[in-house]
Amino acid sequence: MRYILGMIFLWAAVVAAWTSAAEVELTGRTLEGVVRDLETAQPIPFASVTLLRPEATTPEYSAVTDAEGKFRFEGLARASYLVEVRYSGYQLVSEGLEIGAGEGPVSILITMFRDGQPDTGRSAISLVAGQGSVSVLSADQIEELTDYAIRAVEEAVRREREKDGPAVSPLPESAAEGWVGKTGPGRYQDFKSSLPSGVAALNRANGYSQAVDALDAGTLLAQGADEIWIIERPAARRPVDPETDPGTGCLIVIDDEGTEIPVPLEHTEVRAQINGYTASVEVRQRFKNPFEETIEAEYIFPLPHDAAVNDFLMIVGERRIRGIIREKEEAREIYERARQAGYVASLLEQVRPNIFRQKVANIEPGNAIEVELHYFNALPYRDGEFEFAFPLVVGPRFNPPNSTDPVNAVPRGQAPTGNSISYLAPDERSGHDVNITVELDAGMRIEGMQSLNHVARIQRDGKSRALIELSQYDRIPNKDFVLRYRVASDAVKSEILVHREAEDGYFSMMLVPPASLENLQRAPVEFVFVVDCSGSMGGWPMEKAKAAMRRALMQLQEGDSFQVIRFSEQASALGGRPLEATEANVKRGLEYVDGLHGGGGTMMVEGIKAALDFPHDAGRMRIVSFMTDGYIGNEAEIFAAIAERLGPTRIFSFGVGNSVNRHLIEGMARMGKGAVAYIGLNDDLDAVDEFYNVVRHPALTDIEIEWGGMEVKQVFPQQIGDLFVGRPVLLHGRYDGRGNRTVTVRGRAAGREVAFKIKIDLDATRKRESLPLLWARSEIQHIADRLAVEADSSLESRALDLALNFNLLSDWTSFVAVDASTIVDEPGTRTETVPVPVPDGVKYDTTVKGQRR
Amino acid sequence: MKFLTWLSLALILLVAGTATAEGERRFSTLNLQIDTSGEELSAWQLRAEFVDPDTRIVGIEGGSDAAFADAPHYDPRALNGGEIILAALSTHQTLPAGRVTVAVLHVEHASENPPRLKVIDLIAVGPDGNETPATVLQENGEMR
Repeated sequence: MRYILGMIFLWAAVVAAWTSAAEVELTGRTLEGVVRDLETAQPIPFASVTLLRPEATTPEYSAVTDAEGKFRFEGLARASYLVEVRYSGYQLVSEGLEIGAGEGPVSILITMFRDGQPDTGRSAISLVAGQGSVSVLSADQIEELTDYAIRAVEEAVRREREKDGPAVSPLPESAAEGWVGKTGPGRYQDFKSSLPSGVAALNRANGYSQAVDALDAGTLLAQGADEIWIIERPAARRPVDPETDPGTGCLIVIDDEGTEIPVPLEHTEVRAQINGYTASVEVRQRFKNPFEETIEAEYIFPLPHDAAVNDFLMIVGERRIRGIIREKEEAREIYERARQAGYVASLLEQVRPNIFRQKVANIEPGNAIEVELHYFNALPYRDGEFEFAFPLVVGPRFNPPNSTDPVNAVPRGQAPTGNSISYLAPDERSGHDVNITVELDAGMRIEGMQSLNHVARIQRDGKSRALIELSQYDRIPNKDFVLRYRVASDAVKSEILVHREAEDGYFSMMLVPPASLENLQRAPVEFVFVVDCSGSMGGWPMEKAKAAMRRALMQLQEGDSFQVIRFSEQASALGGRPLEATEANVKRGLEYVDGLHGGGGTMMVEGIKAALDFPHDAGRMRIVSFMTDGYIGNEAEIFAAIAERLGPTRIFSFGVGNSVNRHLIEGMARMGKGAVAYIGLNDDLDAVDEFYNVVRHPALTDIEIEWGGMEVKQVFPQQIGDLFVGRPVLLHGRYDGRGNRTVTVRGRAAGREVAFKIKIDLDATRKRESLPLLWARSEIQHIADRLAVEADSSLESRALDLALNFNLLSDWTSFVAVDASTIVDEPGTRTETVPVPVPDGVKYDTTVKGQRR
Repeated sequence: MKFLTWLSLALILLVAGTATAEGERRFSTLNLQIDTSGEELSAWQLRAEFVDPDTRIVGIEGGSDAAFADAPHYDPRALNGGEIILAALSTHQTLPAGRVTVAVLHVEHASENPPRLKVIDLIAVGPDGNETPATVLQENGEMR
């Protein structure tokens, strides 16, 4: 099969009646469907349809379609499946499907591409809720999604109005009751407002949204719709007993006596304010002791890899106690003494730049203690979109043998040691839930916005502001919250922001590639694709990586060469040397990719060596693209290996999954002077197209900055990497001097000299208090990068001083807070770690239970 | 001989006891009050150092009055240099006047004596933005 793209449309079956909850019998569900040819819509008889559980290697159910292309499975467990459909002459369909908690039969339509049909780039299914590719939703979720779809239609109407397009009618009043849509540009109609179930198609390119019958969805896709939302309205809802049904809001753990009791972390509240490209974020965690003895709670959690954590509070009842930054060991000693003496205390430590440990000592039975931290970070801008990402779970890491500072994954209940993260089994649910609110002031017109992995309410307030709130139905912390908003490409310009504190001046400089680069075409490239085939990539992440690889291989140009390298325990390659991108060789590459599967450990350094030690073709620029979830614990070793071997190669790293290790992915690109992209499990493959857009034009290299009389010092990163189209670079530095200045940036692209100027007013009085912290954080990152390749105690002293002087959490400093006003009756000796779910799409059996260490 | 044995044992116990005493650290609180002699207080900044340099702040809590209930901020650079600079600003509608507790310092110390601050500078500001005369009072909490 040359290319795999399956499209599965799910619609609600016509359910006989809206039976009462009492009449519902909780047996297995029925899945029925029909397989059709994409272009002709004709049914395909005798096609093989199989259902696999994500962790299984053999099908759990299989069937063959009848003369009308129909098939049916009964008694399915409510679970995640991989649906595979095969028929001679057609491309394999392989898609995820989640059978949720609804009651009626689930019907799906599968459309197949003939062999040789080109990839249209359209996504298979895009649902905005639930885990997996498709979810059957509750009636409450449908109401929320209906609101969401109506807003999508309103947005489409607004966009057309602002473009002075054809006159449109206002939305009908029935919009509040069901789906509305339009059948073509400029013509709106009330569309089946009383649908018992609904399907909505969105076409981002044309900006229209349409409600359709399920069977019409195939036609719509053929016409170019790129998203299909499928909503089932169930016949009835199973009554939920909050005492016994974990649902999404209650964590049950089983203690030694087998009693079900909650764990000590109840809730995480995240409040973010975004101004321009800077986020100011408060994170509050509520710990509560459900046990009958005093405990210490320990929770290992993620934050953005570039977060400058600069404040910490412990909240005991109404009292707020500000924590103090201390040298790491000193903070740990203070905390331990306080804990042993019976004081309520808390300690916040950094495990990795994106992994942190929170300890709270002496929580008495039934009592609650809250901790609150604050951080700033700069939002990345990629290919026309800013991105706010808040990670909610740390993925299970693989640690190579003899790792000195591993991050281990252990099953819940197993005694943790060192940096160990305790994971819930698949049939356990965490009562720890999250809420996220984002107040966005983009400072420029927002053209579009989407929450990638979660259902979120988005309320626009004028052209540049919005309030984004996580849906109450999507609060399980098992995937990153990712908000992307698009602004006009000409609105993002190179600029310098300044902030002055007494005599200290700080600046942040965004270098936007000049538009002229887009007029230049690139020279032939030697592409080296390196695919992580370890156990954590097994299942959906692997399928996503393979789909991305296929799309990447299909876009190679004449004159390019390529190589494909896979690695898990060891690395192996498609061939002994890069292949010319001929049709026959690309076919070889596609077949090689088809055969990849996930399993085993993640010896990433083997992949680095295989990719960078490869003999270099001097006639072509070499770009190495890694596709990985980044679930390793030896990031520093990887950075060192890249620094040692990089040479003229550039690294473009793809993060594959819904909770990837961004510290590693971003660090690889930073050390590799390249760029990053992220492919979520529910994403289409735009990231691959963006990658080609980035490398389609030459980068601006050999960048030099003439500061125009601005007295500049301590600018980070010290070595400016290449400037790629669509990928600005952010610099942080300090300055002296006043007045107006003009900064000139020079570089070379395709053999030509390119220069552009940036004007700056050093007397600007607006306070930007994040700039000193972002500057200090960038120098600490610079030091960490250097320490990855050379031991230097003076660098460590400098990092410690920076962190202490700027109140920053770091590898050298921690926050500690002690409530010395009261002492508990009996100091707790029992430590309860907070177990977390494995990330969405990741297999527990091969990552946690499989002991990948 | 018996005398020497007892003497040795006593010396060992004495040394051990001293070591324990030296290693023992205590936690306690120190309330800071500012007295503005009846003037309203809207902001304050205190620069000080501990009388016993082996005393460390391990938490900073706000005061009893609603206007200064939020935990004051500290200057990390000063702390890194061995000094303490604390500050708070209130935008509360009703500002306190006279003596008001503005902060509770949670501290760890080795000395059996209650922790005390040596005040280097105090700036108190009224609602009009002008500095107002003020003094700092210290009150120790229970020491364990």
